[in-house]
Amino acid sequence: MQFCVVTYPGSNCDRDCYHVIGEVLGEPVRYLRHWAEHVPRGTSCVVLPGGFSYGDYLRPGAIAARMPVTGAIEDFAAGGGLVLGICNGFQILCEAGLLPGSLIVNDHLAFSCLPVHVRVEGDPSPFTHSLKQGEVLRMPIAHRDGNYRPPSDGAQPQVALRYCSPAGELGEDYNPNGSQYSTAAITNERGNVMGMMPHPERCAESILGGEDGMRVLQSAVDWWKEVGSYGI
Amino acid sequence: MERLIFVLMRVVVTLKPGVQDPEGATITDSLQRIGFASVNRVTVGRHFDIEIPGRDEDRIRREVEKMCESLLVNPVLQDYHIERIQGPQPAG
Amino acid sequence: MGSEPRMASWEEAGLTAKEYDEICEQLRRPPNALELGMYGLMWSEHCSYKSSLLHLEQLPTEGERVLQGPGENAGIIDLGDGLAAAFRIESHNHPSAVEPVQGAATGVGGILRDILAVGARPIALLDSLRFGNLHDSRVEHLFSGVVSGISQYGNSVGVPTVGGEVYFDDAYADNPLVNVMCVGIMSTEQLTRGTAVGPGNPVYIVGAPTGRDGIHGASLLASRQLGDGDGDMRPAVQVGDPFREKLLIEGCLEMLQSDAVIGLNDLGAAGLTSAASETAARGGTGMDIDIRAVPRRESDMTPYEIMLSESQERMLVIGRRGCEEEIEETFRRWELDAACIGKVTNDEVLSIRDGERILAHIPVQSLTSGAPRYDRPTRPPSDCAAREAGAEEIPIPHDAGDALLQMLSHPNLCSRRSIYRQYDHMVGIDTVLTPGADAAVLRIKGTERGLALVTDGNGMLCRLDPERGAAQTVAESYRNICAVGGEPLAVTNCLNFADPEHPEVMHAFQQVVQGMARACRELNTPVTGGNVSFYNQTLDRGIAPTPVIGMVGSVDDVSRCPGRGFQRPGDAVLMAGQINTAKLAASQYLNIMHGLQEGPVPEVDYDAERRAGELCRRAIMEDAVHSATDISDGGLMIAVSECGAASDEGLGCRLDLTDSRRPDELLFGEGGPRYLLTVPEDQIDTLVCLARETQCPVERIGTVGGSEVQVHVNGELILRASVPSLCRARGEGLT
Repeated sequence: MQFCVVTYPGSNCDRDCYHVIGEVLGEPVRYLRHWAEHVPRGTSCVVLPGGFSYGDYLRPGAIAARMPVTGAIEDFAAGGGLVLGICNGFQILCEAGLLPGSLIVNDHLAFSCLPVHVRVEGDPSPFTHSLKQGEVLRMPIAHRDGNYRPPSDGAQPQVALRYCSPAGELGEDYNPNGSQYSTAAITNERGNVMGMMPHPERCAESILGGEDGMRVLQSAVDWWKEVGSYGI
Repeated sequence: MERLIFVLMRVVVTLKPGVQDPEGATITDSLQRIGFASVNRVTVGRHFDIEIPGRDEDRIRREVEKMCESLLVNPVLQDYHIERIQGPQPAG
Repeated sequence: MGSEPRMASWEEAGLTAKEYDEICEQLRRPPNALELGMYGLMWSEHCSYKSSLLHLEQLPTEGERVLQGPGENAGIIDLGDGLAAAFRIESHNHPSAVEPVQGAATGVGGILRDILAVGARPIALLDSLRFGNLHDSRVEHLFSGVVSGISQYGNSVGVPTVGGEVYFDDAYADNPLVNVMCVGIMSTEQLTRGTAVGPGNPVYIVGAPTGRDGIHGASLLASRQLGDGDGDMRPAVQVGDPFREKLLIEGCLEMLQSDAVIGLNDLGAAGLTSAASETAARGGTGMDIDIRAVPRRESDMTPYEIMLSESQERMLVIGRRGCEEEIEETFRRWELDAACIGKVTNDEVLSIRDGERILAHIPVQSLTSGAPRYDRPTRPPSDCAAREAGAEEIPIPHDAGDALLQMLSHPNLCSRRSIYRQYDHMVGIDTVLTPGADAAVLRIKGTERGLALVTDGNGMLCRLDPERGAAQTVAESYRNICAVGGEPLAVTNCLNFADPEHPEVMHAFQQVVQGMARACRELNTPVTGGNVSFYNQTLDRGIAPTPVIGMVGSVDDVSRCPGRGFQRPGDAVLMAGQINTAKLAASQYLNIMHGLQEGPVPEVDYDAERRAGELCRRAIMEDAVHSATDISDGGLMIAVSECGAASDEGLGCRLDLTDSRRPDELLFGEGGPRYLLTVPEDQIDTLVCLARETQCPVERIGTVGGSEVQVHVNGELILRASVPSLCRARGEGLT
């Protein structure tokens, strides 16, 4: 299953995602540079990594969302390709309109780098395909703007992961950034585009304290093998 | 040589009513805590001052509106308005 | 006199009359205003090390692992397998005192570029911070500003902040210390020098355009005292742009893949003047620069401002003739401007032109090695604070448990989590041991190996006894590296002092360097570079002498690094090292509980250090321990509490001690190498063997288990506290 990791000039988790997909997940992976105008043929999944794509001085992800490569990713997603935005990647997908809503500054206003627990929700998606509803994963977050706000028209997004206690309970105490309904990850209606604030690539090897991140990436691979594409 | 004539426009971006504003809430609390009990609410916004050469204010205003819609403003969260700060007048 | 222009100008440049005369002699003419400004920078304390160099020569700088020692942008050590680590620490004290957020942020930026300049990819940052008492709202402002500056810059540029230290003491109320260490990794082939060689080769300035920021930063901010009117110095403080820094890192590293680049140098303190003269001096060449070609942020800048600007995120790149197109194209791809501003010459002169007009013409050696060297007078302090602590007069605490909770919630001993959660300490996915551990451990991808990194300082010990205090600082860093299973390899240092023109300050400086030199020699950790920061003084209040050590160790197998948290009920708790020598003198217990900073500082027993360090390291690498930590500030009980708090299962332990000493000395005394290890029953024999082989005493003092920490002395229960109560106390210190 061919992966592409997008590198905007200020992406800083691009090399981490590349390492985990190539060396840990063992799938073919290549970089997609920010000046690219097309997603290469044969690509199954595009990953938008974390970082500060253009310094994020305006709004996180705002400038990256308007670069040609992001338009190419939009076309790719419309054609049924899998797209995973992690942290800044999630912010870019919201800014680009590939996912509904937006991510604003954390309710406590500070950057937070720490492990959190997330619960798998019911809405189907390739990225949670191999996970059971209600299952709890432990993954790190590292962001200042991860406070999810749904669109103002009142539409509710499809939630893939919610912040929770180690036992899977929801509550303010377990919500690290004030996200509405403890939202940690959402998908588009079709399920092929997911944005998540936690970093799966940071918990894909036991030496770094956990392997739960692999479950998300492996899900996408399993789905691809079992279900295949969205029939295009 | 003719001197460059320009217009200076200010775009003020604010949060839509009802959108959570953690920065504003924190500043409201802080002001109240240090004795400004009369403060009801503070909301935080941002402004951009944009210098554009030309004399035709209407055209420039339309151009700035386009900038807002294509980059400066996130319509999910934010409202904006445009003010003329200066001009048309010579630069420098 | 004040109206005489000559007089005003050398003082404005931060020079003395004698130094001015020396310049005239070396130039064989009076310098013009631009030249004088350039001398002012290069002969400033910050750039020339004129007060410290004579003493620094004592430091051991060579070793089998040292590939590059002091004098370059960063020290480099050989890690084997074609890999090398580059590292350096630098202060940004004065800028942080004036504007904490940007001061700290640009401190991070500057040290990153030093590591980049030797051709390494920066992989880790550590910050050693010192502030006054947090109850002071001004101090609180500085503290939160510095943390936020480090967080903003480091997180954005994508280099993890993996460790460091924070310490609060009135000695730093007016003069906070912000020392930043950066570590990079590289293949040995990629080693780049900050050297301009090959006459005719093009010289580029790459990155941000030059603005008016930071003019006189090195000569004035970092080379004199701060006074009341320092609000006026605000315009001189630079603003950092981490996004551009990220582009510079990626652009330069890509550039180094080809041989189009010969040398790299950061434009940091003293800006273009320093970068140009240092690279030419190292290469034994000269440089010809046309300031017209320097990209500027403002159109009306004078040559003086361009040469003295300290604008951030700029690098000087010495290219190879004929590769101009490749260089410009590579940087353009990274959205960076690369402007060719001149060329390398063979006349050993730094020549500054504006088009055809020559503005400055100075022999390179005169600017660099021509700076004066001062053997400043020294005098032992009149109020020799080092005296026997009257420990017998101090009341024994009624409730040792209360004392423990009070100690744990003190800002100097409490959890640092509220700080390091604001730092991205995981980006790069190499961080095996995160902040909060004795030392950070980073894996090296593709190998089993890793690096152990730590910074440590102790102003209190150094004020009491500068020589022993400095030696203890090196020893403590050594213990931190051993406690995670690392082999200490080399150090970098940042020497923070008050006014060097004060004989007592200079005396302490000389003693500190002596103590550090001996310790580094004894522990086989050569000094590969560093930084001296003088004038950390406001009016007559100077800081405590504060040498900060950054140490790098190598870890053979990162999968064995245990961390300090208790792992399994039933494990034996062992103490290894100098078991019974801890004293209350010069301890944090005396400082926190009794407000006393006194007592003789113990001498380092180097044999005991080496033996205990080897035992701990081997026990870890032979997989015989479940947890390990070193016992330092606050003594045994602080270490035990940290092990409980770091335990995933919230495990406590029961200690059974047999000892006739005062309980507070037993529980909170400090000194000597002491490691706290927890070992499964079936590995106790391994430890016994290791103890014999390394000739290091090891004693069983208790057993892991329960959710409380209990201490029994001679059979009597003297302290009991639940692990959640310890965690709570540790969490209270910085809120």
